[in-house]
Amino acid sequence: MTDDNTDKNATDAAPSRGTMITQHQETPAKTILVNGREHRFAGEEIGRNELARLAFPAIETAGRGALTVAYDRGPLEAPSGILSAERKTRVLDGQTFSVSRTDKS
Amino acid sequence: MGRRSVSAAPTSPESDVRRLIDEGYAVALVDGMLVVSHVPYLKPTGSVGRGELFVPVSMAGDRIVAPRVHTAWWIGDAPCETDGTTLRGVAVNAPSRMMLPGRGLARMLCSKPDGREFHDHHEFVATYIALLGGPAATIDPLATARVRARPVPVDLRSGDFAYIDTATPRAALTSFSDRIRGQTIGIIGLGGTGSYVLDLVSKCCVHAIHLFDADLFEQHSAFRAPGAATIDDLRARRRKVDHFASMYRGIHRGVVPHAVRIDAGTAPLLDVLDFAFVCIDDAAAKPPIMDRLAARGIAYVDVGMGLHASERGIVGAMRTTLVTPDDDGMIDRIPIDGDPDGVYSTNIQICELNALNAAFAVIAWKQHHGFYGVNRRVGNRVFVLEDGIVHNEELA
Repeated sequence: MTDDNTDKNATDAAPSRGTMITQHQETPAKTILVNGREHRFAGEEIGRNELARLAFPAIETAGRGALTVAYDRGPLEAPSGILSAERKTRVLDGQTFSVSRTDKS
Repeated sequence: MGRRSVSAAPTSPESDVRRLIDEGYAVALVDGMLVVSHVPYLKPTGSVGRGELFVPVSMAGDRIVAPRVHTAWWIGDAPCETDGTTLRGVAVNAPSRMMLPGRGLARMLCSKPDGREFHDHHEFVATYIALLGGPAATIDPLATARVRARPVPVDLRSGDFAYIDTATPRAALTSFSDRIRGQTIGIIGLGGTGSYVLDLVSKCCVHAIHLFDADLFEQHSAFRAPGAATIDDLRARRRKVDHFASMYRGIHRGVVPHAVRIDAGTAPLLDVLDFAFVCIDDAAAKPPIMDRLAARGIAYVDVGMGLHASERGIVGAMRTTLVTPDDDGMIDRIPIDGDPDGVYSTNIQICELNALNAAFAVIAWKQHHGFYGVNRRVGNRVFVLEDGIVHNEELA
């Protein structure tokens, strides 16, 4: 995956990309569930934009307010919650994520 | 104003008459007389008859005041006891006076409580009817002057409902209901969630419920809507607002259909609202609605769900976001960009999830107004189906 086009207007993805690359060798990949689907994730932390790309491979960025992102079975300091634009979560093996554009009524 | 209300204070003028009507008496006010018809009594022949009782109304100007007389008039035979003797407790005179043209002469009746006059006209009427009807009741226990056994619903009591809400007083919830009473509510979008919002709000003591949607009620709509639409409902090809207005006026008279799509041009229709439920799919259509509501200081809840088919089954999230004039801190949780490429689009919706999201929205409205107590001021609430967890984001 190339990051050139995805990082340019992604506020929270850029630093995590760096982290992810440097830690790639030392952190064993974890299995996470995103919208009921298993993914292997090798990074330490994850934010909205990366989750958006896992959930919707066709999109480039989560965009403003477009997505509702929540997680469960996370780290002890914040085991579950909503990932707002400014938040990330440390990733544990087995952590579950819900990533939706909650616009249907 | 002070002088007049003091001088006329003793009884509430219409309440005596209103009470008689509510209790089922066939009563009318004719020429300063309360005329009660179908009053049972025992005739000299020993059979139960029906007569008319005339009770003069004591007035002070245009107000009804406590009765100053205790004589009444009676059109019918001389009332008797069961043994055929003259009715006791009431002095019955010979027919002497024309009360209504062509109805024969009326007898004067005379009875009064010991040492006083009647407190009010209700006591006046009810006492005479009891005395007249006592002997008749021993012959026919079902004989009653309260011929309208089930009083017709009276506007004063049923309010905006089509019939009286007996559930709220039963559970002693009136003081809480007062916190939402009389509001004018708008439901923008009558898809699955909006129609369930209507289903819930129609049972609340709000003044009016305005519906906004330009779409037709179609066959697929029926499977995401409350109730059971008939095939005739589908054949009628009505607008959703008309379908739902006709259905829900069965319980709430204030349902007002507007077969329009709300955009910048039609947004002023929202100005009458006290609270709005925004239940539309098209995120790009929301900004003019949100702008108008914000400009008019109208609080609202925006709802939305996103569901996905996975090998584990259907998963997804339901969101309700509260925006108030005082706090729009969660407004950026509401999607407002279009999805022209359909990259997110799944369009899975299931009616129990529509109903659940609608219930969350109605709860948010009632919490905002103090009907429900809160320990935290939640601005954004997300239920994740596969986790079974409700996430709350609190307002600052």
